[in-house]
Amino acid sequence: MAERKLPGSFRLQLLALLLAFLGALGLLAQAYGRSALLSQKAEQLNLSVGLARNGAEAFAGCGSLEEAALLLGGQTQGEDLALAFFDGAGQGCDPEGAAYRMEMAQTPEGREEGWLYTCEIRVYRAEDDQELYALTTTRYQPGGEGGGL
Amino acid sequence: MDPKRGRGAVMSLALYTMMILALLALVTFGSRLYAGLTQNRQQNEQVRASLSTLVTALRASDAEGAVSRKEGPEGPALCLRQEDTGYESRIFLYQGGLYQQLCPQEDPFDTESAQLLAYTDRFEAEPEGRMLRLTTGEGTAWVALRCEGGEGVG
Repeated sequence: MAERKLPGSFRLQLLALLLAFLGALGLLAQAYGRSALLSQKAEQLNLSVGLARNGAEAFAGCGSLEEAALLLGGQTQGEDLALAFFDGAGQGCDPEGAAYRMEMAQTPEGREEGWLYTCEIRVYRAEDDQELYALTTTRYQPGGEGGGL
Repeated sequence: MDPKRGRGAVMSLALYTMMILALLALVTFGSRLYAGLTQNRQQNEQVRASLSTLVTALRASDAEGAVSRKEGPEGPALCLRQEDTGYESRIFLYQGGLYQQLCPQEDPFDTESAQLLAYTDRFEAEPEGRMLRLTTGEGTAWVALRCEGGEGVG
């Protein structure tokens, strides 16, 4: 009788081992998946910080939002909004097939001797419009009439 | 041999084989993923090391007439002058690396005394009005020259 019970017990142990093994596999696969996702996010964040910084530099160095947009390969939509599209490597491209979209929205504020332009720069992932990075920068433009666009 | 025992042994062997194969597959997948993650991290570090270092160096030297270009060992070199000391910091491409050399302004290029900033296969510094476009193998960074009289790069 004892000889007949052993294989059953062994199978039970094997089954428990298999379940534990599968559980460990599942946890490891989940950890791998998360790390891959985090790595992808880090890459996108790194690139979007660079794009936003370029946008801020262009806004600071160019005389107007339109010039800044042209420098970055984008274009303005109205007076206070500029859009630029970039591929996965951060190079300027057409809206179709773009991996990133950058929006530059400026708000002019009249001062006694000029205009203070505040620009909000936001970088989005093109596929799902998720915001990846945003920064705000300002530029003062002297001149009685505000030196608008 | 008892046929039931034989079948059990085969089942156990098959189970163990399956577990070992699954483990091998997971280890292979994990090592490939780890290699990918490391490569990704290195790429991010390369971008920061090359472009961010360039932008920071340029920003620190952003003074009138301080930024200029010279012909380096392999293409253009970005020169950041320190007028008070007579020295200049030169950033140039040499044998797959971005190097920085600090020396008196009249000294020739010396790749031996230069320090490696980052590994990259490309370096360009193109002025466009008050903007300077810095391009390395890792991407492009725009820098606005904010200094008085910074109407371009000499």
